[in-house]
Amino acid sequence: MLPEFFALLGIDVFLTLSLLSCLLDDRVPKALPYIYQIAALVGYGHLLISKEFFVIFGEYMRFWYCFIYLLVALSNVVAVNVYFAVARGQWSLAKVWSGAVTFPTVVISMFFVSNYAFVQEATLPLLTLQVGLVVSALIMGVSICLLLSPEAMRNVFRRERR
Amino acid sequence: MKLRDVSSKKPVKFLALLLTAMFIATASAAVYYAMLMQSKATVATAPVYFSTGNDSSGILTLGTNDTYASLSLSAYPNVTLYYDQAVNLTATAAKQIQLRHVSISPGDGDPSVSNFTSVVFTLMNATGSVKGTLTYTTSGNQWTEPTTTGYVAIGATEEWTIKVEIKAAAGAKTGVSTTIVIAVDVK
Repeated sequence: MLPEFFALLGIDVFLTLSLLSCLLDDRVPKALPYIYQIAALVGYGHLLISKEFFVIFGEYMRFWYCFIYLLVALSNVVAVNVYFAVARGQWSLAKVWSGAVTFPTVVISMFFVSNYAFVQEATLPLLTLQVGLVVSALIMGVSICLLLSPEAMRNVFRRERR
Repeated sequence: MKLRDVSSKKPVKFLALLLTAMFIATASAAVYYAMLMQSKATVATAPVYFSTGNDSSGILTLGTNDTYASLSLSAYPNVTLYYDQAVNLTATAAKQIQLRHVSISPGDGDPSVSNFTSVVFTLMNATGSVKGTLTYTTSGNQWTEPTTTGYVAIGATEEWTIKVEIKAAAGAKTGVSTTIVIAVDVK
């Protein structure tokens, strides 16, 4: 398995997000499906650059930039989940999204990351990579959500103070 | 209905996104597959290579890494000349091999073609059994070219030979030559 597999996985996650956000276009910003398609295209360009500089870029560097791309894709899955739960207040939809999209995507990504770590005999302790993946995706997802709709978060905090 | 109204409809939007998504996913998978193949290309020694036979002296020139060989054979008018072991083939692993015609020159229609009668390449195993034959014959100024011998199994460490029979036509001119290129396919 090449490190670019993570970029491929990230592209597929972005494409899935694009199609799902198109189906839920009355609940998410109208531009979101197109933004995700552009993100997938960026990933494709990323793969092409990787192919062109295959020998120059070492495996270590290729792994990290592909891994970060996957992390960004996963963060967006989490961000949409948080957006439904917090910004839109649609808890049932957020629960369905978390069960049908967020959880399977994170588990599949974890499986491939641990498989890669096992095959390549990664120097990082096995758990660090997987836990790091989940924690980073969660933090980044919440951050993306905060960035896109700061008002909603403020409202939640205000409600808690009262 | 205006174009804007059509494009803002959900099914149309979804279909357009689905098509581009399929395109991006396919193209990305193709690039990944190409990279996978690229990374698997490793240099190894040829499992079947050319080696000298009992009759190779003075006629055989082996190429770099013994992966190609050049034979300089003589032909006499109205006489069949045999090179029983013109060149040998040595296998380092169990493989399947075949002889295949690649090219011949001068080509059909050249008057010098009629100076030759036949050129026969015979693939023989270590015990002398015939495993395949490539026969070139002439008819006037035309060559009759063979195709392939078909694959046959060669065992690891076995040494086979290629026997060559060459015959020039009665009354053939001296100094006329022909160049035959054949390939040994290995799989």
